[in-house]
Amino acid sequence: MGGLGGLLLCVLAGFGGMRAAWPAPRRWSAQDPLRLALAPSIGLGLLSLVYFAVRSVLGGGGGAMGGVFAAVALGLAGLAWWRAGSAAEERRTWAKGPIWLWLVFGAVAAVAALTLVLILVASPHGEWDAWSIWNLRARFLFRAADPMTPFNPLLNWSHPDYPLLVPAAVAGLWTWNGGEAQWLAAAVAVVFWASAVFVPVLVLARLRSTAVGLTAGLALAGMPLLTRNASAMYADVVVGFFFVAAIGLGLLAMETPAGRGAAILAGVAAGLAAWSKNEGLLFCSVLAVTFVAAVRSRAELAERIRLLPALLGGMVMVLAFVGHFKYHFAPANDLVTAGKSASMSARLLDFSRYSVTFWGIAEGILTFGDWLVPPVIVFGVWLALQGIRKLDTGSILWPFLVAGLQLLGYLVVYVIGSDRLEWQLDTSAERLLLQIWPAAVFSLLYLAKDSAATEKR
Amino acid sequence: MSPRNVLAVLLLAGVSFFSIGKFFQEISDFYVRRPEVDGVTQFTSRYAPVRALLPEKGVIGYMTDPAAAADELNATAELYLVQYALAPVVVVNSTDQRYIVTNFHTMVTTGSMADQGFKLVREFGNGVAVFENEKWGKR
Repeated sequence: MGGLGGLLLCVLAGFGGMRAAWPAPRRWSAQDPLRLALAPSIGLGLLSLVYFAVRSVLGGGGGAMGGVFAAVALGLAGLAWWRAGSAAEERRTWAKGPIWLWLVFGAVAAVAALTLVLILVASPHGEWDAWSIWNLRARFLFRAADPMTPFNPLLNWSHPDYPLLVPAAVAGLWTWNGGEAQWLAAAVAVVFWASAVFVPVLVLARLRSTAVGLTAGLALAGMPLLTRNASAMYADVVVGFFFVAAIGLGLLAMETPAGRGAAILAGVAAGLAAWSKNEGLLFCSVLAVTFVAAVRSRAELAERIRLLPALLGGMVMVLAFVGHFKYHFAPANDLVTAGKSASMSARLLDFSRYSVTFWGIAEGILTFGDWLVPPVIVFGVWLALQGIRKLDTGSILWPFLVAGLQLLGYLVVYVIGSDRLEWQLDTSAERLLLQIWPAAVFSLLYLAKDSAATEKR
Repeated sequence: MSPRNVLAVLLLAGVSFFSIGKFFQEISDFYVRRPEVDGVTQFTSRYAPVRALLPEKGVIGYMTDPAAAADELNATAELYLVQYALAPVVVVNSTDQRYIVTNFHTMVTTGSMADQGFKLVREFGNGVAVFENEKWGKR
């Protein structure tokens, strides 16, 4: 079938999964552009889960994986077809938006995409963490008969506790391809970069206006760091995409008739964040807690409680795989080990660590993103011009709360978990901020006032 | 859109456009001057014949010359790249294994290796060879 066929099957599985949980009539529907934008990334997530399950539980090889994933994709497509029979018509909510804004966004996105492709052609194996962690693990998974091989303690330097979404998706595509092909690893990087740019655009266009969506797209596609990190084949853009996808789908569940279906998908996206990087585990707790806590009325709380089982159900479906991986395969995380090696309470009471962490992150924020002007200044002026919406529901503040608490969680982990605090801040703060960047842009755009002409609510 | 909205969006659009444009210019300059083969492919292709010789699983030792080992960052990168090339066999930074693979940058004779107890299994050129540790299992 080839690697391209494997990629197309991922799109089918993703789109089928989207429509199975969030059904629409059998013809092309109003929200299908958004479903289609989410489909490749969700599909790659499903491929990685199936690959891991087949290799670890069933002990099967490539042939078994191909058959099981094809069955999953067709099963989801069949379920979507069946559920479409009773699905309600979707109201068209897309406005065209100003043509000049489309042109500017198109130009920025095209330049960014071209830059991404040039780097991937020049460095097809990615940067240091790609060939020492992510692509290395993909090679181990694909080449080794024994699925335990990549988790040999002799390979502890390669962080074998890191979750497997990226390497297992690449290994799965290589299995479809019948051999290793570096362009497929590059294709995974391109898919997640594109999803991180286009999904926030479409969700905001649905919930706010096309102009707001395109503005978010400008802030994401126009950030060199996002393109640089994606082309390095690191997993930060991947986890950042799943953060913003979970928030966007969560809002669709709260604010639109998508309801429970979108809540399930929000949970799945959060689970896939945890399947991409360990930071996703923190995100799952932040998302679930704030989902019911960020309310401004009893009616809103009752609605969130009604949606919560769907959100948790979607999350648990993926976290079951993460748990299986953590329990049976992964060694303890190095930060957890470091946390045990010294007294956490001593670190908690060492106020110099707070100061070092705060200034490390503050410096990271001020120099973040390789923009010509720091994003803090750009968005400060932008917010002053736009103004903030009236906070009449908790959902308006919810994305901001999730992004803010995730950042706070990173600060706490630095303070209590890190043995080499300054070195860790120097080498990781930028990437952690990048993980939150799509969600931060989304939350600011969602929080800001829109033009009276295009405002939906 | 009101003039304030337009101004806000234009501010963001300008910063985005010029930032990504500058980055594109840097990358396109690099792209036209890039080597024909990227560094990772160039380095790891030296180990392709070694991989064909190795079994499907196992552990192999690793040796580089002291001068290369002194540059810690580069030495670490090269060890990881050798591992990247030879997966699924696990490469350890030690000669305390039955077989070892080398990554030499300077001339090393098989005689000097034999004096240290390493018998040549096969040489692949460019500082890459597989040796058998004759002291292995005798301690």
